[in-house]
Amino acid sequence: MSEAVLEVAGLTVGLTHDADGRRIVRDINVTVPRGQIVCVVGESGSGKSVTAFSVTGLLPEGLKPVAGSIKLLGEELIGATDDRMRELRGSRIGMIFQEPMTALNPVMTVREQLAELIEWHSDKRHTKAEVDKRVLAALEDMLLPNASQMMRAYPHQLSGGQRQRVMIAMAMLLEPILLIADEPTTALDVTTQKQILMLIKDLVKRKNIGVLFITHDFGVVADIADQVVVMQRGLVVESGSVDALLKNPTQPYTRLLINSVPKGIRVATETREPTPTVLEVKALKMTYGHRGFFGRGRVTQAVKEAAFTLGRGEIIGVVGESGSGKSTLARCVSRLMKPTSGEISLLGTDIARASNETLRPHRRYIQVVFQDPYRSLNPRLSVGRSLIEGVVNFGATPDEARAKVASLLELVGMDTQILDRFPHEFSGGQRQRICIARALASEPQILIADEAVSALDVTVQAQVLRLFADLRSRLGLAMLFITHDLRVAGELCDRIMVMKSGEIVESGSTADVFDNPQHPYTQALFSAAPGRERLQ
Amino acid sequence: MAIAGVLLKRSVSVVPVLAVVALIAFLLLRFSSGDPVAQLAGDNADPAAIAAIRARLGLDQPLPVQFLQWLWRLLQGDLGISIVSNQPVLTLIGQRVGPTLAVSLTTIIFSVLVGVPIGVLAAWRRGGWLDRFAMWTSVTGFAVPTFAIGYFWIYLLSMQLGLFPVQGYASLSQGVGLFLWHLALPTLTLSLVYVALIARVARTSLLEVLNEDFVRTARAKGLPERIVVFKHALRNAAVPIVSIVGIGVALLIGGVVVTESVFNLPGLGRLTVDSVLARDYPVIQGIIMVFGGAYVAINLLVDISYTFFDPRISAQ
Amino acid sequence: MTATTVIAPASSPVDVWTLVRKLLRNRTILFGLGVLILLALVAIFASVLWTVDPAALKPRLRLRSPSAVNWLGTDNLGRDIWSRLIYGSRVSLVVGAVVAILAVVAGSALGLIAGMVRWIDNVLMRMMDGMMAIPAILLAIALIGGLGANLVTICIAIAVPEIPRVARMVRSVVLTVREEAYVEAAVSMGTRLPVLVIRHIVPNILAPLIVQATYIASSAILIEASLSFLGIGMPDEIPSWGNMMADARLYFQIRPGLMLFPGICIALTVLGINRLGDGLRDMLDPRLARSVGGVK
Repeated sequence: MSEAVLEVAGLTVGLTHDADGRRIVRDINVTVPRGQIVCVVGESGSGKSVTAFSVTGLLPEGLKPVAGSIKLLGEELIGATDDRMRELRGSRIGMIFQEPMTALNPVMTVREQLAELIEWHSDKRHTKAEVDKRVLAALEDMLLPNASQMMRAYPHQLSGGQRQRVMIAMAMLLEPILLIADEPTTALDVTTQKQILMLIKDLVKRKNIGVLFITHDFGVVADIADQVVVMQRGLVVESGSVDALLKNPTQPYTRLLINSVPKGIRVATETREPTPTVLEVKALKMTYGHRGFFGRGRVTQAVKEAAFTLGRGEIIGVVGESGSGKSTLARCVSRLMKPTSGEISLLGTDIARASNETLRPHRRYIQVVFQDPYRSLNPRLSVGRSLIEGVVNFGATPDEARAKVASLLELVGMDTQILDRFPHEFSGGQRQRICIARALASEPQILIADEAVSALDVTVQAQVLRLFADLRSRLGLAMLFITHDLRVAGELCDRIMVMKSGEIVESGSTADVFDNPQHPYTQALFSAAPGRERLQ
Repeated sequence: MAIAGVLLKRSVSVVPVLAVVALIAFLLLRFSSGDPVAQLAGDNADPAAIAAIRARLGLDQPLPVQFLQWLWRLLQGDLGISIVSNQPVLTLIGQRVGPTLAVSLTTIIFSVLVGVPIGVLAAWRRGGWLDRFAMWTSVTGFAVPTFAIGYFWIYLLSMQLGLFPVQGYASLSQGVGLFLWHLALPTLTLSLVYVALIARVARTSLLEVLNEDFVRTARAKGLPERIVVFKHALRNAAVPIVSIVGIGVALLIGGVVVTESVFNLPGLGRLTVDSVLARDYPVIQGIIMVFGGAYVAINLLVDISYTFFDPRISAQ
Repeated sequence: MTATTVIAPASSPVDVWTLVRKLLRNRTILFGLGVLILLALVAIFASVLWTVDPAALKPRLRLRSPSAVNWLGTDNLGRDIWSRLIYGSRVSLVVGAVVAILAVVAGSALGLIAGMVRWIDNVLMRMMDGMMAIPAILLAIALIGGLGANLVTICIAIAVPEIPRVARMVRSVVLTVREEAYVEAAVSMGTRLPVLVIRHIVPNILAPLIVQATYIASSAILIEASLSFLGIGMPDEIPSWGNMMADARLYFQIRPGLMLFPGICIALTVLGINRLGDGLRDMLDPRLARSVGGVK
């Protein structure tokens, strides 16, 4: 093995004010050799980010390393002076973050943000031309088109992928030996993610640097890692080379993580009998108008001419990247939004343009589960009151409602004794189960899941997906499953619709779409899905 | 979008606000107790004479017509005639606008120059002595009535130390020194609340910005802490700070009315009080239009200045 | 960015006591409550607090220094300053409370309507913008000029300029909460509008509203004092702290104390209420600091 760029040994982080108390991470050992990518994988709360921030000396206020050592090319960083750490950051240690929009200063041009690195990390003055040349070279190195124009741009004028490239250019500008990447592709679309991962991989080869890569996604790990460190609740569970770890995980938790990654292949490929149609959408259109003051102005067509039918007990996956119009489609169909035109025939009644009053009795048949389980339950209402609301709205007495609610909780695998407790006492996965129970309260025919598993950790995600499949077979529930993740759609759906720029570009049975994608965009989505080759 | 376009768009957007100000000013007169016509006609006017005055003033027309007529005259710069002095309201306001303008300008300048640095330093050294001092000053500043502050300065700086005149006003034509010397105490009086407000907002917005991701990026780039705070964070906190300067103008105008009374400054505030006591409604209407217009104009400037501080705003 | 966001803890009957305990552990809130309670007691029991008739004129005893009879001396008409201070608390407290209630009730009604009904929103908010362009004290002066000056008209005149600020705040909370997924979930479950507003939206408004009410009360007390000081506030025969300071103007150079005592009373009262507001704000939601905090 080549020379180690970073050696973390026995690192333990505790609270500043209670040095003997709670440990955030304990006894962490990570070594990053030159020319390799070391992935630290874990779910939320595993301590993977704390480990990364310890290396840069930028732990959040209140946390500090209480034991262990962190060596950068042999130099001990724990106990190094603030000035020395500042010198190292930016020059020897580069860092990139998850959210490229908020990680760049919105009121400074790209050039300013890169140039100041040169200015503050050297004693001699540089001429403007010299600085410009280096900044330009760094941007071009990240394969940014029109780099000279981009220097004058502000972050909001760039796309997500471009911003992340600028971030990487900034991190690499002074040729560091260690790059720390904290979930750098999580906020990006899958096709952009692929490009950024390729770029990082390429950088490692060309510049012979070490990369400490934090991620929650074993798919990403399979694509880029040389070494893997698996973390859970502040401890290293298992570590080793990527091949060994993927093939023969020794720890049950590692196996669970790997198995929880949606594989993007349909597990059971039985063909379903045609069932009675519960929902039929025709020529659905949704246009947002920004009418200007003088009658002109921009008009966004969020959904252009969508049409599909959904049968009883059928699950259709709607797949697309951000801005594809998939969420707008879901909101129109569930009539949280009034579509511009078209027909939404729900059990034979057209609800597309119905008024709120005529709509109300029909609402019970179509229910929604939202993405963010932390905002989907009213924090001031007990779980019981949240659940009962829907049951009572559709004409049950309070006693009937309580009995009904208990059976619903059982159905989604929750304890029935939780009715008097409040949402903040539950984890994300538990909350999502409660939300599903609430959606089922009115005995709907159709469930719309709008990115309902995207915010969950991967092990929890797998459980909730199983719950959906189970509900379909037990209740004959039809579902519209909105997701950005092809792999997840493949796990659950009978049919797939791929959306791009407001249009359904491809639709068909999951097996057909997966085995033989027709549209180039679908093909691109497939080839970009992380971990595709190695995890199947 | 070009700056000219922004300018045009924002200017158009203040028209309805000004129209509402005009409507309020108009309604105040129409619904006030006491008949201005009877007042105008004198004690022993016969009904015919009163009717004649009504017709002359257009008061026999329906209310919406009266409003449109009034608005039309307003657009031509005609604010009406004072009932008490029989002079055009615009003339009266013109005579009194100097002192008010002077003390408002010195206060705005002084408050920004003092308030912003205090707020920024308080946020930078959070919990330090300056932070605590600034907090207690602002807590007190918000609690003491403006006129009490005025008398406090008079007692301390004029009566005890003899540094400044107790009351009175010197116009700019009497010399810059004398002018500023008379303005010092009114400015100090008016500034206390304004400084407190600006410092408080500067502190909170800066602290908020310091939690943003890009500040973490700046630190990860190894920049010195002073650059992180004063270059990266402060530039992003500029918009809320500038906007509070604009909103605070309403507070300032309120304070001016009282302060002019304390220091015997012959400005618009005194004119307001005198007019209310004399029930001189046209003058009150005129003053509302002038102050309301000034507030709107200053906030229009503030709005436009956003495009200078934040490149994202002109894009919208 | 969201302006004001959803706040804090769950409210079940059990939690009321925890909340009270939490309130009493906070020193800022305790100070504010203490000042308010003391003041309320003084106002209620004014007649038994060693006072004489605050309006009784004794021309021979003008501008006396403090003595065993007149603890804080007498004013320019020979009235007892101690008694006038004690009775003056009534005006300030009543004005503060009435104005806060008027402004909060009217403002939140308008804000709720604006937040729920699109077309009314446009009209209403233009009106509110116009009202906010006129400085509060100027609008109050003009209203008093029109309505005449007594306790009722003064309260109305001070409350009206505060309404737009309350309405705007309530509206922004409503617009934020409406976007919350749990509100959309309730909509899709067929919950009717009135139930939706009362169950899901109003609870989110209460906390910021209570905080803003305290700031309105303190600002009302200051404005009433200013109006009285300018001679267009409470009628002269009613003892109010503002009136006392107005009377003191001509004699300030001889007897600064005439100005000092009522000034301290006003400042202490306003300070107490403001601290109560600050404490509640920090406890209920620190993010409120930006939107309503002390912008008075």
